Amino acid sequence: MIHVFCSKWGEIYEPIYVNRLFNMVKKHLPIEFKFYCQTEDAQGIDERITILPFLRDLPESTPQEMFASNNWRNKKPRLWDRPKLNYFKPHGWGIKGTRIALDLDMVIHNDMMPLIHMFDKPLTGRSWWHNRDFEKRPDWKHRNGAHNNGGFYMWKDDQLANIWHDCLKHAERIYHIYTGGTDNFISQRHLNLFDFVPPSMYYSFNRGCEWPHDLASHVIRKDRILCAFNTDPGVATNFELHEAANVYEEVKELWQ
Amino acid sequence: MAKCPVPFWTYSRIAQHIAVEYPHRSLDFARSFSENQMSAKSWLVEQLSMSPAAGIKEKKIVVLGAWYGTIIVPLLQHYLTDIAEIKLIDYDKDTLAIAKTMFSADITTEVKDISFDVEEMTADIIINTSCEHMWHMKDIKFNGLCAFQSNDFFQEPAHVNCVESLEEFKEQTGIKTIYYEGEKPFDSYHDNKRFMVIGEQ
Repeated sequence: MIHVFCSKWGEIYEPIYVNRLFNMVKKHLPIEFKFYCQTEDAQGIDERITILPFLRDLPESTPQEMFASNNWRNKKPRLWDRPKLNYFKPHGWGIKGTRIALDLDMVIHNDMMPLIHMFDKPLTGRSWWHNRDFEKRPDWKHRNGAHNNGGFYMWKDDQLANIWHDCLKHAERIYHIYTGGTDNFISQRHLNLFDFVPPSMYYSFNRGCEWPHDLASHVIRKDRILCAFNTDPGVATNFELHEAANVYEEVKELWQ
Repeated sequence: MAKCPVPFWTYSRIAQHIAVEYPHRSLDFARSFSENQMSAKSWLVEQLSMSPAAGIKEKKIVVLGAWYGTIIVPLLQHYLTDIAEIKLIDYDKDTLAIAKTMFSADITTEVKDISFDVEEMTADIIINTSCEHMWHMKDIKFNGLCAFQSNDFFQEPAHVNCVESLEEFKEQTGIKTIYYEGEKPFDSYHDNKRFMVIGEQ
């Protein structure tokens, strides 16, 4: 049994994002699984999906608390996707076993079993599409740049308990410093816990697949498994998933 | 050449070393000698040299968020007397390795993330010219004279903890007994300010 998690909060993502993610998992994960959505608003979400409340272990971690806080930077709450940290609570929501966490704007378009077979150490996506020499530059570190792409995580039981305990101990500091989001936090403090999904399985619709030879954007790579729709702020040529589905027939067909 | 007050040849040697061993750091290293870095560090050392801690015998000095120590270390050595130890602390081990190559036995180094790994620190003088990069200094217990700087240059993404004013900065540092406080233009290009407070918590 695999436990698959996603989270929905705020106004950005409609329930259709949750339901279609469930559909894609159902189509491409041919083993027993249970699908959960952490949300405060279950309206419109498929009844086969188990709704989970936002955990309250971490301070100001529910979306309501986060948006009400005055600790914002660049028009966003600091660590704006902090509700995702709840995934890492060992046996959170009383659930035991192997977990997968997916961002709502992921597209799955092939059998997920190669991911299941390669799983040993916790897995996450990797930003293979950027120049990894940049990661060595001091300004990358000073800006707490991300190395991973948290659209996908896979782990078992308490394998990521260190992340949770770090959050319990330092939540306020972590929120304050890692303004960019959980990818930045994980990259700078816990990256050694993870193996990475290889570029043969993972890519970004807006940023390409692997530096430097495979960077074409807005291309569906049919032989890969997971496609992230991460966007750069203010870049007009970046598409959110629903926008891409309106423009690209291939995306529309896959995102059902 | 022996009387030359600035060891240009040392900087040349280190710049060459970085170009070969750490090419991705060449730009960063060059920036550590910029005019605004010189202005900030010389302001700090000038005020420190007039502080009560200047007269302490066999002074232990700690520099938090030290980067390469390029400007601060030579200035401290030149303007303060009777220094027993200068310790550079930074979360970036490569900067400290380069600092060690540059200053060899004149400094000690320690890799630590100040935002998370330091709860208390004791030294005669504790310097932090990068408070805008890290968590509030008031949450660390400092035993010794603190000389801290920050700024209101919010535009830089790496500046996660800027302050709007000197008053806010004083509150953020937890320094209660103040020997010096002041503000200056951040640099020649922006309408921003750099703040400094010297004192004890």
